[in-house]
Amino acid sequence: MVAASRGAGDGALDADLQGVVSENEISSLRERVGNLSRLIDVTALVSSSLNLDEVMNRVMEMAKEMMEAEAASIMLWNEAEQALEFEISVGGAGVEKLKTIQIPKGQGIAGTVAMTGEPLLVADVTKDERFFQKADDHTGFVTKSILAAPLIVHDRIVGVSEVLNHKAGRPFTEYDLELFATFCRQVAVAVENARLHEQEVRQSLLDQQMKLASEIQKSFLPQVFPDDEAGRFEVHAFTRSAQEVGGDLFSFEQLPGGRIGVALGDVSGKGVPAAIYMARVVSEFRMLCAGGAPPHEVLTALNAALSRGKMHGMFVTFVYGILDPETGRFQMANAGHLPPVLLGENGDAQWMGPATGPPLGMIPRTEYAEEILEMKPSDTLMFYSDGIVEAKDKTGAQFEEDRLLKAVSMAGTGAKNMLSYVLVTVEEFSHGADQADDMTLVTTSWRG
Amino acid sequence: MEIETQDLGSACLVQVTGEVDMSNSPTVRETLIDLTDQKVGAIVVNLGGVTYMDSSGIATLVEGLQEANAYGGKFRLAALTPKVMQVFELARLTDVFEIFPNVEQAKEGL
Repeated sequence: MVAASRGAGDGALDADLQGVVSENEISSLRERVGNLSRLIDVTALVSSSLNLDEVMNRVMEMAKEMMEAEAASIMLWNEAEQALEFEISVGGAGVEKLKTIQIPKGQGIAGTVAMTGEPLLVADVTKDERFFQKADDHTGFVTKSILAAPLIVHDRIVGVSEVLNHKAGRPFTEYDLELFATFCRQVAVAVENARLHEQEVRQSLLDQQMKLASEIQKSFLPQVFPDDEAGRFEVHAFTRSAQEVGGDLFSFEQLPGGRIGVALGDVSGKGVPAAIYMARVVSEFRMLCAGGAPPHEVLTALNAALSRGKMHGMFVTFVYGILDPETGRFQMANAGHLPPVLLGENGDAQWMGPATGPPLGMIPRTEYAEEILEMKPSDTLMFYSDGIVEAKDKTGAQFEEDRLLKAVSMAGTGAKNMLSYVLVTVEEFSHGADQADDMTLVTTSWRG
Repeated sequence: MEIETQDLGSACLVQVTGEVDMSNSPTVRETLIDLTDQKVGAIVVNLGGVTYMDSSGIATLVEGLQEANAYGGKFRLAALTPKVMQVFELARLTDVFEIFPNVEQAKEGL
């Protein structure tokens, strides 16, 4: 569009101006109009959604054409390296040869521009001792005259652009410098926009992947909770990650002899590494528990499995119990996890014993001990992750064990009932504060 | 969180102070792994100034222990504050680590 209207405009300009001004002046004016339209072209690029490399390549082709230069390049400021680095070079040597060159602030022409933020004209490099010979040595290009201008975004120098050698063999002029500096103001915006757009695309891709990961992780956890037709037991669970994915897990297992396995695990750390480790824990656990072996044996085997391979110290605290719905006998083993809470029919809440061994995945040959709880009718047992007791309120105070014990004692029996009450109590406590850690609750009640 | 190391001759002392959590446990890890990469014979981590440690911090200590054990090195913890000690006791980490009341006692026999 822009190119077509420029062509028509040139013709009209010629007709209007003939006879009024000299040929030279017409030619000069036409050149300036051409330059102006290139500025408009680069402005159009500002709002485009092209990728960064493409934008930089296009604007440097424009710069080379507009300034009638042999070569044009963009160097961007690398904050970590504290140096300018070549990103794009057209006309002269390929950028590959220049990639290894780093130019600190104050060094060479580009480094001077990066320091002062002012455009710079070097008509003859042989007469300017600031000229940095290294790039020419690298590429074999012979630089004679340079225009350099800063790329400034929000008062910050993000890079420097240069054009080298006028094709006519003449040095660049002050007019060239002014034009190039104006052009570079637009280039800076175009480059920054492309950079932001790229970041957005990357972020949106990452968000999509995290959403998918979150879905996949949820599929590792029971979607439907086991239900006893005879109504002898009830189980319930809740989990919520602090981030899209988390390291807490729970499981309900239908075991031989009509028994039911109940597990809760809490992987060290949070986020993606914890989620991947969690997936491994769940898979290994399901395989090891399927035969119905006692919890302490399953945890001993699970620990051996998780201790294989280098896991950077990652571990999981894990509590596993098996309820026999016939007798109310609850076999349990606890690998470094917080002690469960038991609520009796009379409303007495009490802590179960502490862990019977360290967390899983720390020491290869660890034997876990068994704990037996003979549940009485209407007893309800709760497993919870530390995200519950460490839930914070707006002032930063933690929920802590005392509040948990109190909430359990007031909850009333029944797995679903207790879980809802405790969850509401924690939610009310932490209302308005960010959830810092993954939170999981698993409850089991036996009716006898 | 602040961390510094000191050569005690018989052991390398790592002093950690402040809160150790997800945001800074990689720094602790870097320090410990740097020592275990050099196969330092004995590492004593002074946790006397640690007011809070989350599971990522504990995982970092576990990794240090595992790495040191792999080459027969010693890895000891000293001067845990009551709050951190409570976490270690609840999680039975006392079965995993050699824990001493203070640095002096942790240095004994090294």
